[in-house]
Amino acid sequence: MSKNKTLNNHCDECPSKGEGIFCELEKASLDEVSRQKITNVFKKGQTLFVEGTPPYGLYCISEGNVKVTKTGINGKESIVRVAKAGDVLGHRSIFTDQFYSATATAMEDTKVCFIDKKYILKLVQTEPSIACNLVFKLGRDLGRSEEKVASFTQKNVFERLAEVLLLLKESHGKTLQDGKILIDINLTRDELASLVGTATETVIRFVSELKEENVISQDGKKIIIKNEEKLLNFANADY
Amino acid sequence: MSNVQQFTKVPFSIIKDLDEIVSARLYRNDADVIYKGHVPHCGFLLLEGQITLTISKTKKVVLNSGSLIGVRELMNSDPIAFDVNISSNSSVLILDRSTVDDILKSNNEGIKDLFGKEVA
Repeated sequence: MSKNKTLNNHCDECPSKGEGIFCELEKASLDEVSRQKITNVFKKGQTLFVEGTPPYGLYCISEGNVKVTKTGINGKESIVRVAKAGDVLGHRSIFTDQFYSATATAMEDTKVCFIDKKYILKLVQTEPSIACNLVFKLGRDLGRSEEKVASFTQKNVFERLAEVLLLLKESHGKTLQDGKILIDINLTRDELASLVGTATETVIRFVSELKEENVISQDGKKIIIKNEEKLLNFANADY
Repeated sequence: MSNVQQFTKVPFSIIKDLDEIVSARLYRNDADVIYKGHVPHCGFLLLEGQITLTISKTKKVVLNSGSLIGVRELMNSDPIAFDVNISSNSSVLILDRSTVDDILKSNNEGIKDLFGKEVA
């Protein structure tokens, strides 16, 4: 198999090395995965896969962020989650063989590696670490889904906003020199509202309240957490 | 990058044989499946429906049943020269790298020959 002529894409050189499901493979196996995979850079707004289409492989995010969305009956898009570098996408659909249940869209220029379904299924049989990592991942996904359902039924919008900010802190947080935490992802107000599950106007109002309370500040589209303890109280959560 | 005119039309007899190696899949929704400048994640053989190639904002080519797209670029790791969109309710054979590798190893000379030429 010829090497990808467009991108230098060996797993050894991946910026997310150590975070993916393939990272525990022996060098020879990793070399083989690197030969088999296809690496592309998706521009902002380009889709990795689309809801209602057949699955044909696994997507491993090397750099950038991808939003996973579902479209409602009214055509409105809801963000299910934001996947970051090191995350994999499409794993659930390849094992169930159902249509993709959501759409994955690059939120910025995003480098993504793709491995076809047949090859993944072969790897799962021959490499126990891949199978284990996928099971762990499916378990974590299920846990997150259960938490999200509970959050939607038990928490008000303000608590959910605080909770989403804390979850984004876990996935995209960078501690600044002054101890504040930068959520290193550009989110529009619509996207933040979609993650919280409310109207944009409501999120704008509550973000202003959090700013007034000196809990957060904003640097362009990025949010900085200034007082995590207070945010935890607002979220009514135990993280 | 490949020329937009270089599409292979796969004869019906070969499509029938291919159907034994790879199953037809339905696209319930319209989807952009390959973007210009990308190495395709897989090739597509259109069975029913429509595949549209967008070469520039104004120039579009519509492919019909039996058209093969993306396999050459996939197997040679070459970037493709156009955006590829599959219309909703189209039926295709999805030809990923592992599947094409299997096809090239198959005992069916007709299939092997066609795909051998395609990826050469």
